[in-house]
Amino acid sequence: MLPAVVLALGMITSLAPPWLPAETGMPAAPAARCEALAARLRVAPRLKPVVADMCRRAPTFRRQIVRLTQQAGLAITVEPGDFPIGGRARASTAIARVDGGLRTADVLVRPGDSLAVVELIGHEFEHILEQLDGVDLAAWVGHNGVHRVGGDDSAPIETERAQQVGRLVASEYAAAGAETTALRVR
Amino acid sequence: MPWPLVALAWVVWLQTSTSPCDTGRPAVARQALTGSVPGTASVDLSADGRYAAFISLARLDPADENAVDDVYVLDRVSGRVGLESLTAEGRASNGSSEHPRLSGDGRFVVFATIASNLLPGSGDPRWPQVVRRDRVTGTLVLVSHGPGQQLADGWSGDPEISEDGRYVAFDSRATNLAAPDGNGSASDVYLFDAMDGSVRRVSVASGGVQPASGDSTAPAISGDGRRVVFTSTAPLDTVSVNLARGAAPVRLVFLHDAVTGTTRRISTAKDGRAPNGPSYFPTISADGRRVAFVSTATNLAIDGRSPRQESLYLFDVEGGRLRLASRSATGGAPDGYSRHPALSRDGRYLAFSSNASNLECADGCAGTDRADLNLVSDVYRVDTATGAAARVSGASAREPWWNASAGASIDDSGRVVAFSSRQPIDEDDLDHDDDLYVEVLPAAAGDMAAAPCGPDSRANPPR
Repeated sequence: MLPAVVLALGMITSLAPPWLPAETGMPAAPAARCEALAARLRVAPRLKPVVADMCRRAPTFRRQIVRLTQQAGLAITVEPGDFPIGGRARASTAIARVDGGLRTADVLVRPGDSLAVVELIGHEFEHILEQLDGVDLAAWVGHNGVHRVGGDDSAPIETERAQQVGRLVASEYAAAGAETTALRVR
Repeated sequence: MPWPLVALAWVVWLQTSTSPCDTGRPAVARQALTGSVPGTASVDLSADGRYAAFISLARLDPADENAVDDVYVLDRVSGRVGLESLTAEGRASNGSSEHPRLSGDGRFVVFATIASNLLPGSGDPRWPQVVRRDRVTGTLVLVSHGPGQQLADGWSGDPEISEDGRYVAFDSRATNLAAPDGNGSASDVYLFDAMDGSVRRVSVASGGVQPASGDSTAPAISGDGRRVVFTSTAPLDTVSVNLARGAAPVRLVFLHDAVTGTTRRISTAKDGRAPNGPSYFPTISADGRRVAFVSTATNLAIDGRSPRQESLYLFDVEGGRLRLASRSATGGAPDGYSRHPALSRDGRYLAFSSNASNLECADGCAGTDRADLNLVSDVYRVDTATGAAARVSGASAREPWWNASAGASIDDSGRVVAFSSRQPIDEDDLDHDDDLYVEVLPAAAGDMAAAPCGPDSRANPPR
């Protein structure tokens, strides 16, 4: 069995992005590149429209996709997950390593408003990037915006980095178009 | 050391900046380039910070007709980026180059190359060679040579050049540079003198004796070329002799005086004992009075305890005092590693990369716009006169930087810092590769260093 570590239960804080109707204005090439690369991820069908939309609207998400898909041998899944209503946890990522290298990253996000899902995906993807950066999260607990979500040493770790990047992705997404209000992921 | 060391695609990017003479937040004179691995970027500033040398695989100059890593120099005043790994006739090289270093005024650039058409004679070099190019006349000189302009018969690289371009220190595994070579193909440090074309070994014990074992690498040279620091596992003094007798020799930093012929150990432990960890990445200020290096030893001869992680130490050559330079804001141990030091001319300012979060503020600047939350390496500058550290990478950006920065170079004044970062330039920058950033920092209160508020500091015109 592969050693798996649940890295994060995310998104406790509320969204506060500017909701600015605007033309997307995104260069076609970066968005198209992102969408093509995102096809390499195993994304649940009902989340695929959101991921494609994120490629079109959020530059930070495009960079996440490009980097994640450049990692040879890393398989990423993104699926809806069951998180208790009213609970603090709304997303999680389980990462498995083999011989020190990342092999799988399974992202679960709580369905809901598309903007919330966008933030959750951006947040969890940043947790994967933290691992690609070689960040030893356990060593940082208590410093630098890193803390455990829970009282004991085995509790999942949350980072301010992932929280801020998730919010950044959501704000870019929101600023790029208002039509997303009609979308809900169920 | 692996070859080639660095560089993928580099893309030049010029932005209009605010004047560095402005006060307040650090003004920016920023050029962004891409390529290389964080922390290994070969970036070097001239003494006045006007010129920045770097490596690129991209064709940034019409003369670049190859598909290999080339040396480029950016003129921050004109905004021009010029290809420097050229033949004397101005043609592109036919092999990769790396590790460019500039003389004080930027006239000379030294680098390592495997291009046969940059070297005298014919035939492909089996190993990288070190050459010096005169950017005014276009003349190329082979630095890593044996008698009769023989190419070095072993790997040669890591060149560093004196202020006037006359002296070049480099390391080499060759055995034909200064015969006899008592340690065979183990690496030695050499000093080239362009005045007479001579090459002599400087990784020797006081008195000129070359140890039969150990290797010496990573030299740095003072502005006048007199002092060369390097790291070595060779038994160059009594303590290192004892260490070398052990199962695993410890890498230590040494300082060689090319005038007196003496070699002095810089990484010293308390009570005359041997350091219990390696020391490496040495650099020396242009005035030759300060040496900085990295060490994981916990018993170095400083006031207080040495941190366990990679930390920076500063050695006063005249006074003989060693001290911890990478400190937390409260004077204690940093909560992360520090690497790749670079010193201003007088050694007052120290630039380096670190993933520590408590260098600038004890609490990582939590709750402020300077909060360091990215969990990866950033570039810092420490004023060693006051101990104050300031994060340079991303310090003038509107949004936090979430990507690693490293490979710092600093100008003589200590105000211009160049480094590489994986932070994207703009929203179209999708690739996770390095950009080169140049930050011009405000002068410290009471700083007597010449402020770069002349032509060097002007906003860069678009190319």
